[in-house]
Amino acid sequence: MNSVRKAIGDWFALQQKVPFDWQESVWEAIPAGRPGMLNAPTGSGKTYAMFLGALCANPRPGGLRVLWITPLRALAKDAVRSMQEAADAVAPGVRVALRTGDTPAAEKARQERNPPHTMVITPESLHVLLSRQGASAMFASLTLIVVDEWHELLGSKRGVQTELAIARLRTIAPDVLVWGVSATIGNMAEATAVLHGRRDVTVIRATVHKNMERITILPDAIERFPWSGHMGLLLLEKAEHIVASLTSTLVFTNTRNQAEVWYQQFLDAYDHYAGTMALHHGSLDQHVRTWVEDALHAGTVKVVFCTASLDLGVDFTPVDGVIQVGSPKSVARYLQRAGRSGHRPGATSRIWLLPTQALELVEAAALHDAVEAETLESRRPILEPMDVLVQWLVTLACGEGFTHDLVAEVRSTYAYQHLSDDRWAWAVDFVTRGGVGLQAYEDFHKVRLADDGRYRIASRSQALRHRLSIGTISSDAMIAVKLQRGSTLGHIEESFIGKLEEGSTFWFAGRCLEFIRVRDMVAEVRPSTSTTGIVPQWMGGRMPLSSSLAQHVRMRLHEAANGHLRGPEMTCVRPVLDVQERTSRVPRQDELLMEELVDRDGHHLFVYPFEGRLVHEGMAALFALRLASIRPASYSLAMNDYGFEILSDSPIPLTEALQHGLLSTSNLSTDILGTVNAALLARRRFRDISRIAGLVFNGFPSKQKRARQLQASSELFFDVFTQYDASNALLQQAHEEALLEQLDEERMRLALERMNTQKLIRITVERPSPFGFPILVDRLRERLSTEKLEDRIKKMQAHFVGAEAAQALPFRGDGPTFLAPPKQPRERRRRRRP
Amino acid sequence: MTITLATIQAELLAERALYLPALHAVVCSDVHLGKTSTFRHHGLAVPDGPHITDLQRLDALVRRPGSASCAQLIVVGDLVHARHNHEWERFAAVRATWDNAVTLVSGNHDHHAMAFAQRAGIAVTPFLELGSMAFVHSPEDAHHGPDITICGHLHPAVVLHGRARQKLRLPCFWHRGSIFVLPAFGSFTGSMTITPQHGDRVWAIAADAVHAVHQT
Repeated sequence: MNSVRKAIGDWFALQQKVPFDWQESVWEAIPAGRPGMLNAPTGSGKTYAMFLGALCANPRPGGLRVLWITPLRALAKDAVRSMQEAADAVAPGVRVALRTGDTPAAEKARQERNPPHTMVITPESLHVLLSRQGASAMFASLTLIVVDEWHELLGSKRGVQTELAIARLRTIAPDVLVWGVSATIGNMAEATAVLHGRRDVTVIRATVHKNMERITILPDAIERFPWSGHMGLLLLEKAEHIVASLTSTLVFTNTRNQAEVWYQQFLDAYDHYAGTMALHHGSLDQHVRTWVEDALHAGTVKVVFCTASLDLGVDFTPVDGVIQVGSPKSVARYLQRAGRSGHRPGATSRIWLLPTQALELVEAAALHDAVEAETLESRRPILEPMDVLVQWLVTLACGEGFTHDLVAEVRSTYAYQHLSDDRWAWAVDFVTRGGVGLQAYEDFHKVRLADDGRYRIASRSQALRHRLSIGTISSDAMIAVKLQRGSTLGHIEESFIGKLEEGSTFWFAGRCLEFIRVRDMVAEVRPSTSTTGIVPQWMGGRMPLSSSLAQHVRMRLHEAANGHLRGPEMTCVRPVLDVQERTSRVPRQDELLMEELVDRDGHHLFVYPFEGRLVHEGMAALFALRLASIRPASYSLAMNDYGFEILSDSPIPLTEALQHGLLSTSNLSTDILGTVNAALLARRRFRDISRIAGLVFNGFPSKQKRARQLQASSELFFDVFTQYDASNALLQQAHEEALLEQLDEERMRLALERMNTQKLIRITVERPSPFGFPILVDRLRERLSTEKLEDRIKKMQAHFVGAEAAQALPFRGDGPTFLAPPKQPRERRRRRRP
Repeated sequence: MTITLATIQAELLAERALYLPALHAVVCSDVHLGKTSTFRHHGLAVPDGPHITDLQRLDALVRRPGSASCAQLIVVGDLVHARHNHEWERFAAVRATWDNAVTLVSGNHDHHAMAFAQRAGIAVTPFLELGSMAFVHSPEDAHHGPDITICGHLHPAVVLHGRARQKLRLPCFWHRGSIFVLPAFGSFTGSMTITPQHGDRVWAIAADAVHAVHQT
């Protein structure tokens, strides 16, 4: 036992704690030079396990020894705090430093002059560091890389960024040891393989047993509980009772918009909480979030309304209860959030699920089953994303440059292990010549072959622009919201700000603000005394029901249909299921329900496979295509986690289509590819891809001017590529992503096979059933048409003339000038004082 | 499609341009020459194709055979996108083969193009008045007086709604009062959705045809 192990022992004894066996296993394995995977949930003591293990192997300062990669900035700060504390106790002189986008420039410079022993960093910031000259020198002394919350990174493009960075670091420091830390997911073995390849790995499982109490908040009158919606404010009073009974509560919502609305409504109804309640989500400025986190630690806030931004991270000891607004849609998320409460030794984690619509009660019941059966979701790793590869090439070109030898390093990652020579050549061509084959490339300036035979960035301004874009993976163009005299409150999507007019009011960071103007990517605002205002809606938002959970939902419905109602949730929701059974049917396990409805909108067909939103998106498109092959028609499609709707202006030839194999699995792949919808889904996928690949440039932050002449939407790029460069690998990737994630042939085939074995129940309904209603009112719609454009326009024209005249436009001055008014954002919820 | 603007006959072309028989003039707007090359110069890898097809389309318009021949081409602003590049020269080469007049009513993007225009034989003016018609770039620059002012700048598009919640977004011509707005000619340009008002006339361009969509 070395001296550090002894110091650790003393330190634990001082705090009257005893290390867990699995923590000691980690402390053995790291100094022994064995790579590994620690399977441990948040708040189990995994940070100490990993970091003290790192100190056992590297007890003395001197160069950068340990790199700690973490997915969330909010997490990073806490990790640094507890790690520095531990280092001070057992290995004096060891410095732990934080490196994220928020780190001040002076601190960054200091870190480069005098590297800390341990650096806590996000994947984006790591990429920025690797885009600098001198990256090799900085990382040459590295001995250990820890990837924290690996389950969170896996399955996202940030995970692929992490893989690429680790491959680079393995080249720079060949003996570096890699450890992953992951919560339990359905595909642990795969998660390990993505990080370690075929290496021999030590897997250590943290055995932490925690008591958990899961309660569902039930509405008093289910008859008056809505069939659709997602706010859940009807149950505000019950939520307050829970908050009042606890020391400190986290209220989790699924979207930032919901968190803002809940915060306002709660404050409105219970103003004595003013000063002891807070808001925390990813769009708020770092200093706001830090304040909230500190207050949570100190126990000075009673309730915090938050989103996934507080899913991870070290524990807030005072928190003794969690309220989840709306279905968490996944078992793993439910357990993760429950685990954010009850951290005193021997305490119980408590989670209340607050349903926002009637059928979420069924999901709540299914969640209990899933937790008991331990059916956890898998995270599927992303394979060969060309946008990330293109970004990576430019990143390296900004720093020390690269040669064609880099391909071996790239292929050493899991994501690119099968990267073909063609695709590699395409990626290099794309960044050096603009990827257009025979067309003019002389004027293309991005990466060029330098005199030393390495590919390097063409100019400093290109490098600057690229570094700015690295952080924008999976986030839209964001505009800072700043008080006219004061601090930055956070960031909102540009599309929302674009809809505001001078003087209009909106809610953000829990305050009502008046919009003044946008200047250089900053929206200036002042506090408003108005009580009405719109709440911004951020993109993203809708999480699909996981297939693991979907399966339990089907089972619960089957039971209910047979009169077997287990648990309070099912008893409560019974009247709604009774309406469903009376007006239509609650499908049994061996039944496939289809409902037909005619109203003034047209002819509706509802189908309920209960496979989750993503599968329904593809399946609705497949159905529409097969229906339209019988007779040309235009369809609009809507879907949720339970089923989908096909809407047409003419009768839907369902009987005919069923005879012609509507549910057939033959020709499935051709049919999937043929859905017009595939193009639409690909178009949507292309939004992120074009940003990551650096096609869409959002301008420089603050002070500097926006590069207006370089702005074009991803839509426009998609069209231009489709027309002029159809073999573009980014375009292909967009189609592949859509196919893989939304039009997944394998999942669709399994679902269709299951549906084929089921008895088809066709029911004509007079009005939407409880199952159909939430789909019917959904405004997010896909469209598919096999009619001629001209015919469609003629139909629409007939419809258009009858439409009401639009509102008058504002004329400016006295001249005959005019401009279209900015679109008024739909007001979602007005705030009223009692 | 032939329409009447004030008392003037005009033909709406699916190539995103307007033909005025009385003046033997083709009018278009917002060509944004050189936009793809500007992007490529800054390392944004957009294919080179759009400007080539745009030029072909323009050339075909100018060489219209028969009675509808083109004696002059009027571009109501934003002929070029940003700084000079090879796309401009390609345009100049095509322009050299035309024997008609080319007039540019300068727009907000055109300030870089003054010397080039002179060299390429393009007359530049901030404002053009021919009979009872005026030509300006932005609708905001229109004055009282002329019966009809033809302009561009907005890149208008219209959203059509149908039964069963069908939706279609198309570039369009837009007429309100004494103002007539042309769609953007360049194919690598975005567009802005307009909200037609009572009394407006809108013609959408779909595939290779022009359709009147909003007439009251």
